[in-house]
Amino acid sequence: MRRPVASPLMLLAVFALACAPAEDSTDARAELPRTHDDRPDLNGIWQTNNTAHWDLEAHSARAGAAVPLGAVGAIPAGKSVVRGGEIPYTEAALAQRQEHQEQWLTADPEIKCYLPGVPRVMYMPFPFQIVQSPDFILIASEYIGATRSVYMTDVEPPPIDTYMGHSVGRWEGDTLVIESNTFTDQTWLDRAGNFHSPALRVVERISLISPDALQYEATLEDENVFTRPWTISMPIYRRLEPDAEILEFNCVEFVEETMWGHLTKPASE
Amino acid sequence: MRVRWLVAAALSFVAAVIVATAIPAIVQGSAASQSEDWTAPRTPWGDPDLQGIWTNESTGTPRQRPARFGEREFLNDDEVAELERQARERYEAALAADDDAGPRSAADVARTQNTIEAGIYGQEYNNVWMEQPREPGPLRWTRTSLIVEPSHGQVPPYTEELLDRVEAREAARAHRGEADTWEDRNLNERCMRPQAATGLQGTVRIIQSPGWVAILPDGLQYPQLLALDGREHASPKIRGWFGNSRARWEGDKLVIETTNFNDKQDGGPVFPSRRPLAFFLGSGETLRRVETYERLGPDQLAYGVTTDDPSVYVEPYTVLRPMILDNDFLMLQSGCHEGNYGMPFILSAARADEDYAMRAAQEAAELRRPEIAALRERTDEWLRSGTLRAPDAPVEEVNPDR
Repeated sequence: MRRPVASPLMLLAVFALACAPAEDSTDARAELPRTHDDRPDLNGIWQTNNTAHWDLEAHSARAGAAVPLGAVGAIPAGKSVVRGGEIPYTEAALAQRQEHQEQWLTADPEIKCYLPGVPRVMYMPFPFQIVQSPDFILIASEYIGATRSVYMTDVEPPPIDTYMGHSVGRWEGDTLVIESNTFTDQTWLDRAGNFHSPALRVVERISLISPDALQYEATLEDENVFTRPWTISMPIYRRLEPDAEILEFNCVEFVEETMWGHLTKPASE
Repeated sequence: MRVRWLVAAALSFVAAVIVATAIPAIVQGSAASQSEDWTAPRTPWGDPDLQGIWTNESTGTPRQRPARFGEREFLNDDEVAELERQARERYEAALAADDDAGPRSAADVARTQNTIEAGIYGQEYNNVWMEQPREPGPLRWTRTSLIVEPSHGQVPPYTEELLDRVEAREAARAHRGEADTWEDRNLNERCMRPQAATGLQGTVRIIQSPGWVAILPDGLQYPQLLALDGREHASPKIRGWFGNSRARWEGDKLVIETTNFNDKQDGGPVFPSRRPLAFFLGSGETLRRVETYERLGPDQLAYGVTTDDPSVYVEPYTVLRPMILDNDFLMLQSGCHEGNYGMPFILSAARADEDYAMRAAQEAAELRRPEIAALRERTDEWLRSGTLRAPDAPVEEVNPDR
C-alpha cells in the first residue's frame, strides 16, 4: 500500500497556514470602530476615488465635451467596477444607452443639477456623510445636498416614485444591507448614459474593511432594462482631514444658463 | 379650519413655498403635566437626546406682538381660556366641514372659475396634501408673540444701508420685463431654497451620532450637518446660500451658529419682479443666524432663531416657537428644480409676448406700405406733370390703429 502523499497532520498544517491571513484580518476587524449599540461605526465623511461616475464600465481616456477646458475637461481612463465587466442590458436598452451617449449634454440629469438617484450618489466625485443611529441612518451628499434616509425599521414606501428611492436597511453580521426601490426613470447611473427604469431595485452591502475604508457593493435588478441582476463593487475612502465637512454645492444657479439660456431676452441692438 | 401643510414631493415651483399657512387651530397637551416626572433624555454617549421627527406645533401665536399687549410677554388666564374655546369651536367646525366629496365654498369656486381647477366639485384633490384637524387640548404655548427679543416683540426696522440697496435694485430693474432672464423671478421660483433668515421651516428629523447632529428638513430645504467639536467656521472665502453652521451644547440646549452666507439671499443684483416686499428683503454677508433647540417635555421642544444682520436690521431679533414630536410624520423627498417646468414656460411665454409685439409692429408697418406708396406716386405725378388728379376712388384707411 502506498503511503498517502500528505498526512492528515500535514494537511492540517497547510490549512492552518491558509487560514493565517484570515485570522489576521479578523484581528484587524476586531479593531474596527463600533458604535454604542455594538454595530460597525460607519459615521464619517466618505468619498470614492475612481472614475465610476464617468462610466461604470471600462473606458479609455478621451477628450471632454467642453473644448475650451482642454486637458482639464478631459476624461480619465478607468477600469470597470461592474463584476464581470459589462452591464447585462437587453438589446433595446443597449440601443437606448447609445442614444443617451449621443445626447449626453442635454440628457444627463447630472448636467441639469438633478437629484442623482441610487447608487449614483455613492460614487459621484463629491464627499458624503453618514450619520448613523440604531433606527435611522442618514447619508448626505455634498452634491445639491441630496440625502438618503435609510430606515432601519420597517417603514412603508412613499406613495409616489422618488429620485433618491425608498431605502430600508438591516445588519447582516457586520454588513449594512440596504434595499431600495420606488425610483423614477429620471435618474442615470453615470455620465456614460447607463440607466434604469422605475422598476429598479438596488441592494447595497456596506462594510468596514479598515477604520478608514468601506467596501461598497450594489446589486441592481430591473427586468425592463437588464437581463439579470448585476453588481458593482468598489472601496470608498474616509476623508481624513480633521476638519472635513460637507460643504455646499447648490448647483441650480450653475445650470440656469445651460438649461434656459436660449430662453432669455436677446440683447437689444 | 385646519393646519395646512404641503408635504408633496417633486412639485414644480408653485410648491416651493413650503410653509404652514398659519391658520391657528391646534393646541396640544399640557406643559405642566408633561414636565412632571420627566427628565431630558440623553444619548448613550451623554449628549442631550433630541432625536426624532419634530413638526410645528400650531399655537395661533402671531409673529409680531399685537399692540394691545404692549410689552406683556404672556397671555393671562382669561385670554388662554378664550383661545382654547375658539380652538375647540374651530376644530368642531372643521370636523363638520371635513367632507372631501362635499362642495367647495362659493369663494373657492369663484376664485378658480377660469382655471384648470374649474369644475372640480369637492376638496378631495387638495386634501390629500393637507394635515387633518387634530383635537385641541389645553393651550400650552402662552406667549403673546413669536418674536421674543427685543422686548417690543416686533421685527426691527431695516437699516438705511438695506433700503439704499433695495432702491438700487429697483432702479436696476426699471427697464426690465417680468422675465428677461430667470434673475427677474424670485428665489422660490428658481428652486433656490432660501432659508437664510427664516431658519428651517416645517418638519425636521434630528439624528445624532457622537460629535455630530444632523438636521434633516422636510420640503425644499438643505440639511444641516453640525460638528460639535468646537472647530472654527469655514474660511470667510467660502460662502453659500445656506451658510456654514457650527453647533454646541449649552446645558440641554443645542445652539447652532451659521455664518458664511452669500450676499444673494434676495435674488441678486436685480429685484425680482414679483415677490412679497414685506417678507424678506435679503441679507448681507454680515448675516449671523443663531438657532436653538431645547426640549421642554417628552413631546415638545422650543425652536429659536435669532437673525443678526447689522447691514439689514437695526438690531437683532429672535423668534421662538414650539415644535411637537411626531415620529409617525411621513417625511417625503422633495424635488423642485427637477420638476421646474414653470421656469422655461415663464421665460418662453415672455419671449412669445415680445415676439408677438414685434410681429404686430411689423404687420402694422406692412399695412402702411401701400399708403406711403400712393402718397409717393401723387408727389411724383405732381413733380412730373405739375397737375393733380382727383383719386379714382377714396383712399382707404389701411392702418387699423388710426
